[in-house]
Amino acid sequence: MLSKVHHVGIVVRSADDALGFYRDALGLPVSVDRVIEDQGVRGVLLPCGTAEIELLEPTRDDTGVARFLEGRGEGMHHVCFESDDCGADLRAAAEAGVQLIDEAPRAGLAGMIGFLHPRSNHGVLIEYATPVEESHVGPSDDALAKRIDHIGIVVQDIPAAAATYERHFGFTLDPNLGGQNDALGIENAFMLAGNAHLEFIQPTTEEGPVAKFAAERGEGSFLLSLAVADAEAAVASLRDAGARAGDANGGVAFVSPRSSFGVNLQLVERA
Amino acid sequence: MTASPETSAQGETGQKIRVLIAKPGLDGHDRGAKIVARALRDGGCEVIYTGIRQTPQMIAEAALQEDVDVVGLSILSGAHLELFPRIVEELRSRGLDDVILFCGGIIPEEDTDALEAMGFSAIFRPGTNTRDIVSFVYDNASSE
Repeated sequence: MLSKVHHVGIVVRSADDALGFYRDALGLPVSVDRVIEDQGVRGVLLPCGTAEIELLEPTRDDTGVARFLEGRGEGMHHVCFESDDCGADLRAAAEAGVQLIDEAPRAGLAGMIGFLHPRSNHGVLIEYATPVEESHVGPSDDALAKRIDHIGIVVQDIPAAAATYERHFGFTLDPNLGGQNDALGIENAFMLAGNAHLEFIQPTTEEGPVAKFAAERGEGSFLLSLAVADAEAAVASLRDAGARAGDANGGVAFVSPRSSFGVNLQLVERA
Repeated sequence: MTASPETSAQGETGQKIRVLIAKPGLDGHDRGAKIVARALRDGGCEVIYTGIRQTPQMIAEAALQEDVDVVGLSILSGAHLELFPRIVEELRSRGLDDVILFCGGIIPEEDTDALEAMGFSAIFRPGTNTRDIVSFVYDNASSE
């Protein structure tokens, strides 16, 4: 069974450079930092609440991560759900009609892992991970980012995407969240995945960043939202650290993808 | 290095040059802005057009979230000396102090010095050939 978001994977050109933002500016600790030879990546795990942010730097140019970087540039790469039995959950996914990248679990940075094809999951590359040992160092009190609040996924049709995710992963829509947002030209819906929400975002106009993403890239992971205690203070702190952060507006602020290494990064104030 | 539209559609990062075209203030005449946006798009740039009646904050937020290299402001209302400094300030406060700025529209010659002092690299007035605007963007955004 899947319990929660284990981590969000972000592909970067240089993990050292990206640590300047994720570790130094956001204040996240580093729990794991190592090169996985057979995957051709250096992976760095930074606990953020009860999930983690995983920075992936290709160490060879013949890997999927390297091709992603070449084709799309830096940015969000995959979403990993924690599983109590990666092998059983991969088999269950296959029976539900999901195309698997890994037929059986293999050793990865997060434990025993397996990947599911994005074409089965509305453009999102999904990973399952069963931690072998507890790598988690726990939430850091002084971190600017308290936890992953939600992961935004652009889809063509919210009910269809929600049904797919419910069938594949066992998470259900939260009836109390989401709706029509005419100012942003979107409709959205939220699904709680244990410790963070998945936000399905459907464009309702031809204009704006969501419509543009949908037109150019189709469906897929679009935005990472991190909870902060005080959005204005977080913006000031990020600016002091040299990051490009927008003004907080209604408890929400955005960081330039240039500072967050290709991620559409949102900060949202949560008690 | 200096790239021209003929030789390269890419900025220093290997990506397309990203340009925000915005219309600040209450003036709703956006034909010029749309023509410039189209010309830059045809020239190989990634163009984000904000639409009309944008506040300085909205323009700066769009520039930040879209991670643009260049901001072009179109104005016909005569309020440029009032609005442009606020936009420049909003960009700077967000850390976007290396964004290349240009503007166009009904802008008197005598305002040129003030706009250059604010950080505008070029002013394009009525009658400008759009090719000159495309060349300006490539010459300035590609050679950082």
